[in-house]
Amino acid sequence: MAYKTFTKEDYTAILDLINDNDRVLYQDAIQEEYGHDELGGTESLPDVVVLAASTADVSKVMTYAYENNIPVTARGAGTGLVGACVPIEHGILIDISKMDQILELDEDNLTLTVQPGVLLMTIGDYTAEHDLFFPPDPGEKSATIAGNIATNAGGMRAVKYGVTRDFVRELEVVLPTGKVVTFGGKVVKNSSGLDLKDLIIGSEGILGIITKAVLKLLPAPKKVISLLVPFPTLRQAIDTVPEIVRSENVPIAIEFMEQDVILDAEEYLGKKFPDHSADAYLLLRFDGNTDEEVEKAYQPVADLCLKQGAVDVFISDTQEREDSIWKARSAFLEAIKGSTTDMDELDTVVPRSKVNEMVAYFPEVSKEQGIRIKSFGHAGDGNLHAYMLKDDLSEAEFQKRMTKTMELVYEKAHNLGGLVSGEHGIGYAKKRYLKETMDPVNLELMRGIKKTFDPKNILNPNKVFDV
Amino acid sequence: MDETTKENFLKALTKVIPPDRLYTEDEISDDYGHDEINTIFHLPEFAVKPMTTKEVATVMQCANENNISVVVRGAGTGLVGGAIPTTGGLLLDLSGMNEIKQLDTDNLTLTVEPGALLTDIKQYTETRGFFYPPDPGEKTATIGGNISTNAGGMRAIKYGVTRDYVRGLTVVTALGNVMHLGGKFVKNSSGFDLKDMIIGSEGTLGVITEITLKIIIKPEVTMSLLVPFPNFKDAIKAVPNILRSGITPTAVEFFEQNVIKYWESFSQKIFPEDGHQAYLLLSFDGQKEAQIEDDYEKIAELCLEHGAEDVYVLDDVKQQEEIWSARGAFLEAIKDSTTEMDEVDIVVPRSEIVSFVQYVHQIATTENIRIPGFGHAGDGNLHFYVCRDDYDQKTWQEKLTKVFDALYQESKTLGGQVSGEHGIGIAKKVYLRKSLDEVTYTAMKKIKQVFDPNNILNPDKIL
Ligand SMILES: Cc1cc2nc3c(=O)[nH]c(=O)nc-3n(C[C@H](O)[C@H](O)[C@H](O)COP(=O)(O)OP(=O)(O)OC[C@H]3O[C@@H](n4cnc5c(N)ncnc54)[C@H](O)[C@@H]3O)c2cc1C
Ligand SMILES: Cc1cc2nc3c(=O)[nH]c(=O)nc-3n(C[C@H](O)[C@H](O)[C@H](O)COP(=O)(O)OP(=O)(O)OC[C@H]3O[C@@H](n4cnc5c(N)ncnc54)[C@H](O)[C@@H]3O)c2cc1C
Repeated sequence: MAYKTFTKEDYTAILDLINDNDRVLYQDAIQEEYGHDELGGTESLPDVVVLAASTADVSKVMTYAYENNIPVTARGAGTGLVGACVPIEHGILIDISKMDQILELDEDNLTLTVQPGVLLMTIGDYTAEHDLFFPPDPGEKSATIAGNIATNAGGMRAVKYGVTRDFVRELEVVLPTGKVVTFGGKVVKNSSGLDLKDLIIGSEGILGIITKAVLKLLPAPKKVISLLVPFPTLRQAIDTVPEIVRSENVPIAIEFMEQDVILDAEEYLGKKFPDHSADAYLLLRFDGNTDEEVEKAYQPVADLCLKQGAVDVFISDTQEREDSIWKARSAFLEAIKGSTTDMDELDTVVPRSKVNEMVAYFPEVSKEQGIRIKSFGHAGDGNLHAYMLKDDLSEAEFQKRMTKTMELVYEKAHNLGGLVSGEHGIGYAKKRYLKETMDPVNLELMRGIKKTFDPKNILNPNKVFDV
Repeated sequence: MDETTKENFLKALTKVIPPDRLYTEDEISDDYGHDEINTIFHLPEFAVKPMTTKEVATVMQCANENNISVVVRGAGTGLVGGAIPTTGGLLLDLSGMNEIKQLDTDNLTLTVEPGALLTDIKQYTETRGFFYPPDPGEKTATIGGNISTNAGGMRAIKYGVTRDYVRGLTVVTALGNVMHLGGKFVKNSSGFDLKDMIIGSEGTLGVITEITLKIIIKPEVTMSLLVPFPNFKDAIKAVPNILRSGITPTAVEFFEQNVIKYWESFSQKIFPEDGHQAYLLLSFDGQKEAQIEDDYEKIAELCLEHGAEDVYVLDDVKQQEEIWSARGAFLEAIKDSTTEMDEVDIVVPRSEIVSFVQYVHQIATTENIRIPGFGHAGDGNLHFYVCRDDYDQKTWQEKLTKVFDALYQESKTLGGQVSGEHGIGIAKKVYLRKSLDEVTYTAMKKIKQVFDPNNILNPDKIL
């Protein structure tokens, strides 16, 4: 698709709309960061960056872009892992990170209304002050809420509470035409027509730009306790997961990890993990309102793990221990990244019952393709993260082996009834694999929907699928 | 439909569906012409009872080629005319596809055909120690119908609605293609969320032919509290305090004295502890009796602090069943109290329930018409029934329109939506239209076109 070439006149016109020199960046003023996201595999700079301060800003710029056929990409904090916020076709980048106000806490409806650029950690702190709780808990706390919504981020509490999608009540969205709409509401149930809100969630900024969100909150659980459970083998650890999920009190999180990743994290953080002697671990977390309640919940699960062959069960009964374990868990990605020269990741999701088959496949394909793979993941919801590491490979060789590995892994996931992405999205990096594993009928419908929202294909073009 | 099209289509159908499952003309049962609301009646020209996804797909291809409208029917218990073939054409009766196919205890899923009844799913899971939480009042509805209306029901506060328990769907599109949406996995960030587009789309986007449901472990213990209040305001105002407490009841239902009176004369029974102005009915569930006792004691105290006149603990099963079956029969009881009625299924933010109920009372007075109601107070979803009583047809229609207009307008002002759980169908179409802004309405219309370019699937509904 041919877009209008961005000119000085366009810059002046946009500057006129925004009327603030500091919020419209052009040419040399555009920082290098705007050309990539956290994983850096995808790179392309915008022609202009608009630091939006209001819905009206976004709408005005979008309208201008629509009328002039200029591509637009929304960017939150740029922590994405699939190149989704990278402006492949250049044009306008709308940075929403300055729209960072918490607008309303509604204690009767238990909702929090926020601007899109509010950071996840800000929401965490703010709700905690009010004894409330926004459950979704992806590892990266400096991501924006809009980025989380746009990728339908999952995270470390999904087993019990669900994912970002489950905590969005209402969205204000600027459509590719520049029009502003509101989908959903403060209501908790809805059977009134087609579910457009859920269509926007997870659409990676290709259907509209989120300018406000009403989030669902819960009363904060007062106690949280974790169990770190070493197992002699990974297989035994994973085999225990369905048993745990079937138990009476579902943990908030069931994470699995192997010794090598823990060692990486220890080195990266310069701090010891409570234990690193076993081959594989499950990390479980329980919450509740009283110590007794939490104890009653984890006791049977601890017994169950021992019965299934766990070597021991470490209980994080102090806040300090609790923090140190989860801090380490959150650093896994960074730690692995630190252990090599370059890497790319897989975020595949399979049915819980197939996790074992999937994780057993990683070392196999690693050996076969000659590429180092490290993995850990949300075992409780079948969402596995595997990292392919470049180490000493040449760039060309790395790309070749990685591509082959990805193909094989996604095919395997597909055969096991799984999908390309559980929580990070498709963006630019995983587009090919989505296409290869998705029914043409589904893809055609997605294209049709994209076209009705964005007839000129100007909003975040080249992402998720080709139109 | 002209005779040649009719003949061609019938010929095509006979190749796919055996004669004992294909009906035309006077073989078509009157039941196919209406649903539970009974105010609209229209028969299809053909009806078939397919038994497989493949049959549905082939039938849809034939219909699309011949440009015949198709309406899917589950059990026909709908309350908004969604399953009525208002444009004639073909009725696709899925009640024969009712097999429970697979219980997967590792992934905690249950795979079923769309015609499986809610009551069968309950029975099947609960006798095996599992639990499918959504609990709409009508247990003889099909799961396909529940999904298509995104049914809510009595456990939504703690567990959510039907949407939250659908992991995977097999859908036949308007063109006759078979799609698989979602699956046994629990997270998904891989492209647009087509599964949630289908849920709640009332048979306008595709035909659901297989479903993978999420199930959970069955809670072993259930207890209820019946809490009388001196007036409806106090009752409803207690609700946000309950929901902030950190203890989440399974249900928080609200009703007033008038409905109890209708129920008493309908059932010829005496409601336990009647004589109060307004009530909250709460239930709690969990695995351990002690835990639940702790929970409900705290909530009981909280209710008393917020103006409750008393708290009745319903701890034996019989008592609980009595009260909940009364609650379940309120709709029937109101229906029985009048000559004809129509309902609103409005949902407002929880904080606006008092305003809305007040408004209903006010309209009932100014229009001099009875509007009894009750509702899921915990989720702001209120059911009110406008009763005709002795009004003549013309006055009734005028009053009904006036009252509906006013109620939907008020709900919109309060940040509410037209339907919380029953859907739009044909009965609520005008109100949906009024409640949505032009851009949103157009977006829905265009999506409908993407799924169904020839507009053959339930063409007259929702939009
Ligand atoms: C160390 C690390 C750990 C992580 N752990 C997890 C994890 O456990 N679970 C998990 O799910 N994810 C995890 N992630 C991914 C993380 O959730 C995403 O990076 C995050 O959601 C993106 O938010 P962002 O603000 O950085 O968005 P960006 O990277 O800026 O953008 C991401 C996408 O959202 C779109 N977007 C941004 N703002 C808007 C808007 N206002 N309207 C419409 N679209 C918009 C962009 O166009 C782009 O498509 C992790 C990431 C890192 C770096
Ligand atoms: C007494 C009573 C109490 C009720 N209480 C509640 C309640 O508490 N909460 C609540 O939410 N609802 C309640 N309802 C409404 C009830 O949930 C719906 O009637 C039910 O979901 C419809 O199911 P059905 O099989 O009868 O569908 P039908 O009435 O046959 O169809 C309903 C709609 O779904 C479509 N449809 C049916 N099957 C499919 C399929 N396989 N694929 C695509 N589309 C399909 C139809 O085209 C139609 O638009 C109540 C109804 C009654 C009569």
